[in-house]
Amino acid sequence: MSEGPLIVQSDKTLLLEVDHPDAPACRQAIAPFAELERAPEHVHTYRLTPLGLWNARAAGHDAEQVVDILLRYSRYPVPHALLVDVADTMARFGRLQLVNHPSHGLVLHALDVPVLEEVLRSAKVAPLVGQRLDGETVQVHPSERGHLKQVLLKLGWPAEDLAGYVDGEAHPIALREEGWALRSYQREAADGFWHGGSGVVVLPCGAGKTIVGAAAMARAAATTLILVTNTVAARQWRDELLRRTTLSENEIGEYSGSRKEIRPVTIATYQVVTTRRKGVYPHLELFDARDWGLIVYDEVHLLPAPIFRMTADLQARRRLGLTATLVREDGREGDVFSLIGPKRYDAPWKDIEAQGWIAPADCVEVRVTLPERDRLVYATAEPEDRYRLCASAPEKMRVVEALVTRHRRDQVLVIGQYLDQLDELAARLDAPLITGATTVRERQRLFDAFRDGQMQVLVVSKVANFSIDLPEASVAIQVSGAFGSRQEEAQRLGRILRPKTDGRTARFYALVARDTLDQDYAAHRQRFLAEQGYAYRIVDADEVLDGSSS
Amino acid sequence: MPPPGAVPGHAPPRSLAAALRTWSEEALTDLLQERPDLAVPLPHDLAALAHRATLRPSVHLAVDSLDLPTLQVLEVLVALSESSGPVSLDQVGAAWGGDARPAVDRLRALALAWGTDDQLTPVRRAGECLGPHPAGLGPPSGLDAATIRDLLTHAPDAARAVLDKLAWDGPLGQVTHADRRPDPDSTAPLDWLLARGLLTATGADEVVLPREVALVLRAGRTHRDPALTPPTPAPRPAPQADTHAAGAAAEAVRLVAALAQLWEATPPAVLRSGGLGVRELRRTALALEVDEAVAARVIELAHAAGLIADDGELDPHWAPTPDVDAWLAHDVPQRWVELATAYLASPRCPHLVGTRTDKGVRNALGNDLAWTAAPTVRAWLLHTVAALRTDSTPRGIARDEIVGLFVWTAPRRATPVRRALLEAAVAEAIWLGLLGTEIPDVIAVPSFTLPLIGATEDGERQAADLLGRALPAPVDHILLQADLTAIAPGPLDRHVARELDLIADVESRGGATVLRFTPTSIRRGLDAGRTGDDILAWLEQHSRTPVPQPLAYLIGDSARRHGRVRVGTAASFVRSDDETALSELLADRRADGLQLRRLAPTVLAAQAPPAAVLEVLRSLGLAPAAEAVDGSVVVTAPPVHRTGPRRRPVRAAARPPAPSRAALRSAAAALRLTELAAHDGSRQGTTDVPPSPPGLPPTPADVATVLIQLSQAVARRSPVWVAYVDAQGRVGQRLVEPIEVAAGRLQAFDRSTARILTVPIARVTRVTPLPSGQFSGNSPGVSPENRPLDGPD
Repeated sequence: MSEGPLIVQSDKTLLLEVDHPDAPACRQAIAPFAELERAPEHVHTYRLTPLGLWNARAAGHDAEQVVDILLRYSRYPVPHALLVDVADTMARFGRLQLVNHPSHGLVLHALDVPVLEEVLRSAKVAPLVGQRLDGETVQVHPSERGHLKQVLLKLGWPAEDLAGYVDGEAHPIALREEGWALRSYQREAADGFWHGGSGVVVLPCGAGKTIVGAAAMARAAATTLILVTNTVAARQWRDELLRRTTLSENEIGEYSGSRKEIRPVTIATYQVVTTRRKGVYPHLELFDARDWGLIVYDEVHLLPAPIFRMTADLQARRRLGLTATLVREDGREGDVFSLIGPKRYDAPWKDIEAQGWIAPADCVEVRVTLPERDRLVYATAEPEDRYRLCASAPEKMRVVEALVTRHRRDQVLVIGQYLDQLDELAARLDAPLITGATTVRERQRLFDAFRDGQMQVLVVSKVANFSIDLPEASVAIQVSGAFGSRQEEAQRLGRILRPKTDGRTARFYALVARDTLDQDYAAHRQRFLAEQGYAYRIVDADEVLDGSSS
Repeated sequence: MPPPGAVPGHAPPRSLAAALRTWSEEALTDLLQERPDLAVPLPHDLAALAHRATLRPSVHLAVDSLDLPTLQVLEVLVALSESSGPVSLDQVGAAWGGDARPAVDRLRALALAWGTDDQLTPVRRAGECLGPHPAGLGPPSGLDAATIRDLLTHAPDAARAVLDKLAWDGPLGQVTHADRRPDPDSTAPLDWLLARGLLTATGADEVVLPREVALVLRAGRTHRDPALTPPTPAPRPAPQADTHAAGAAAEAVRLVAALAQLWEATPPAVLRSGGLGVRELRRTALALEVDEAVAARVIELAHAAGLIADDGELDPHWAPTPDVDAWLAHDVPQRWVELATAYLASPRCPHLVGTRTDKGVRNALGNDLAWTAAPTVRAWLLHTVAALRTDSTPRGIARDEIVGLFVWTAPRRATPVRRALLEAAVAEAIWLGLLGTEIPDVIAVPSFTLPLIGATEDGERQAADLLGRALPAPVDHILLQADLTAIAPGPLDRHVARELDLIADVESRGGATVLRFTPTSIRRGLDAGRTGDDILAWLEQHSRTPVPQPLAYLIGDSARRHGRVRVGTAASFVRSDDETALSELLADRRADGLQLRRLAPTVLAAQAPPAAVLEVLRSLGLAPAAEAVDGSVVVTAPPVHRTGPRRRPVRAAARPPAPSRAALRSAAAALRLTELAAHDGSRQGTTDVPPSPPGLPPTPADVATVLIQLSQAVARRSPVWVAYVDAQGRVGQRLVEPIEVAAGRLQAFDRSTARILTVPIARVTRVTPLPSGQFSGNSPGVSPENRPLDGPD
């Protein structure tokens, strides 16, 4: 029996023992087809999913390689049924191909006729295809390319999209590597994307996803539409592109609530694109405004449903999705796969941290004990009010103050969910507050001041969850959050992961009211990070208040 | 080579019995071993043995076991000897097209043929087994080969074409008017052939090609493709077969254990037809996380091993048997051996579950899954694959070659359904770990299956030992991680597994086990009597990694919260603002009977009902007040005895409604008619009134009383009236003299019929002894015939 580092479970999870000498090689071998599910300290869990296996097929791996790798690294015999299942699943990808027919345009071509017969009998496929050209080929309405891929994925016969992409309107873009250079993983990510044509790059917060986007734009050298979460993020993209590429201010347009510019490179917010008036999307024209050669989706795990629908119509254009996590709280990972594309690059957070590209972080859960009086109020509250009550417990204020005092030399972000709680905190800490109601100009000013170090403490609402670049922030204190959102927790940690000039360790405090719903939600929120290898320490609020814990 | 055991120099035997007499003891032993049906019961002499060996069922069994070349040679032997008597080995070889000696020797050793090499004779029944057309040859006609050849040279082309068609694909041909009177001068092919005897009519529309003609047309050969070279599957190395099979074995054992665990909590109902419902199968498959085919295997396997059974209740369910506990107490290899031996001997075919019969779908555990051929096919499979294994290295065979081998080995057994059975046996054996696999598609017998299929004495123990060695060594430690999971990097030691199952939930199983700690799982441990410190200490002891802080917190928090709210039982409570009074009460011995316990300074709980507590407190000189549910004081009056709430008797209406005139008239008419009838009846009435039996109370006496009364009557030989329920359910009464009460039955002499009456005691409802002097012994000429019991009025 070999003493391999991998244990293959019958439920299709793979357990990788991290301390095993062969672990790095094994990790590299299984990464293309297995999804990293958890990466705690000793044993990492990967999972074989149909999507993962199809991702691997899309990247050119075949079942034989996968089976061989599993057998080579496995410590125990691999269940026979699992190997058969892997081969079967992988064989399902690409039996149907979307190709460009010289005379009939877009067609669905079958390498296996019975499969074609099966899917054509589905009521969902019928309206998406045209006439049957011959035994193996059926015409596809070009506008339904995306929908067809979605439906075929649901039917379990994912189509390989070989129909190619339009080049779009050429526009020269190049990286300006002056005083900085593309990091190796950024280059690999951009290359992986480019060779795949379309797809998603998964990198931790702070690992420079914007630069991967810029590198992809340089490869495309074409007009680009960038979709981002909000206006602040849009400005940051613009600044970053101006700094890193040959693009000038005139070439970059902002398409948001306040401005509607369409330039060779246009940055639009999800909100404006998905605005609806009288049942129609007035800004849909944006997608047709130019002959875009590349569309970049920032934070693809947040992509709102209407954008999926719009994206379905854009299948002829190259699409790049950027995200820190493929976890979607709504479970639409399959839509990301079929509409944006397969995962093209993935790196565990801890790997990037080990390379020094993101700051090491220390996550601390501070357990606050509610005083008797508050516990009584909580216990008798209506169920819908309970979470708000415990999350915004007044007891947390004192702890925040104590923490801010302790980190008076650091730049501290206080992040919360409830505005009245944040208002009070801002007043007690004498710090400025940024919420959704703060004007963009004001936000910009405050963020700039914080970046320059004129300001030590900033209280922010969930508007700062994403895409706010605050390099020197090294401490985040989360006083409340949006229930059990795993990705919110990850994003908030991401705010402080930019490498610090002095190599300091970032600190992430999550304040949790003991024995309440807050604690249950916190456990759920922490799961993603715990699975990525961020071990939470737990300290009592009393220790913080005493100053006994560091 | 002489026939087995033949003594050289002997005269050629003239019968099978004579041949057997020349056999050596060794050869006879071999025969009895190869054809075990001949040995039971042991024939008393060789003539009897010879007789039995030529009986049709026995010959059938022996012929079915022949491999392809031997079967072909038997066909040759039968075909040639039917037309010309005993044949020589050379003739057989020439006709078959190969060296027939091995096959002929085998046939003689099996007593399916006898005689020397010059005079071989098949046993008569062998021909019958092969059917009317051995090797596709028609009946003998007596034509000699030279004549046939001569005729053939003059045959018209069309006639020749007919013959050529029938030569190999015959011997029967469909024609119209086969029974015509052929015109010898006609050149129409059929007439020409029929007239010369080259074809024979067998019916109105059927002709047959005579054996001799076919042989000439086939150039003296009987078989177009004599099975000369056996399919020799290349043995393929299967170094991983043992580990793969061991993995499968462990998984199968786990699934059966999981099934027992599932069904002990929620036993599924037994269908009226005896099986397990389709929906229940699906539910089980879902719970076991396997597909339905595998679930059917697990269920049938557990049933074959006697681990689950119909509980036999009025509303029957499938439930684990008591044997499960013994089975679970064994280690995995021993458990597997029990399952594997049960499977090998079981005639049940799980692969048939879900297939249809004319009566409907076959259900798991249903009555229509048994097939006697199954154990034979499984044994053949394992033996065949095992034969490829050399001593040290596991070697196997490509999975798709096994069917070809099956056909060669026993062509008469390889019917399409049996081939399906074989394929199912392969799949089941791989699943159960009786066969190991090797990528790409090689099957091989693992080391630990060998002792089970061999004739080794303590094969089961050896198998368990070998499996124990092939299984990964059990680990007794876990790895704890900060995301509140524990990983057992191998099969867990039983004791560790049991404790872990208590305090954590399994997330993933396989070579390793992943468990997750949750507040609920920790609480389960606390409920089972562990303390938070116990759990922590146990984890520290069994974890290779330090206990992560979040886990320690989880356990600490859960332990802190555990039992914070407490629930107990009390029949009443005593409360008072005067704490001292309560303390006094607690200290007073006279209140011991109330089992008072202090819950709070001002509250005591009592195990006695409020009335008793009030009484005792009053007797102690206190002045207690009773409290109602809402806390108000209940004022009690002196006790007055009352029944519980009762319904009032139904009252009759004051006066019945007056009937209508029409109703009264029809009532009157009815009365008149009855009167007329009674008048007629009185004229025909009998005067012969039988002595009436005693009036009986409506309720039957209990069995014990009946028994005592009957025993006494037997002892005294005194007649009694016996009331009983007859086979039709009618209640009757007879005057009898009891003779014997035995085996639950009463035997008695019934004077009225002068017969012995036998009645099960359970049917006797009452025994009434005759008042003394009423029964003279011979007087009551007439006895009531099944007189119905009198009503209670």
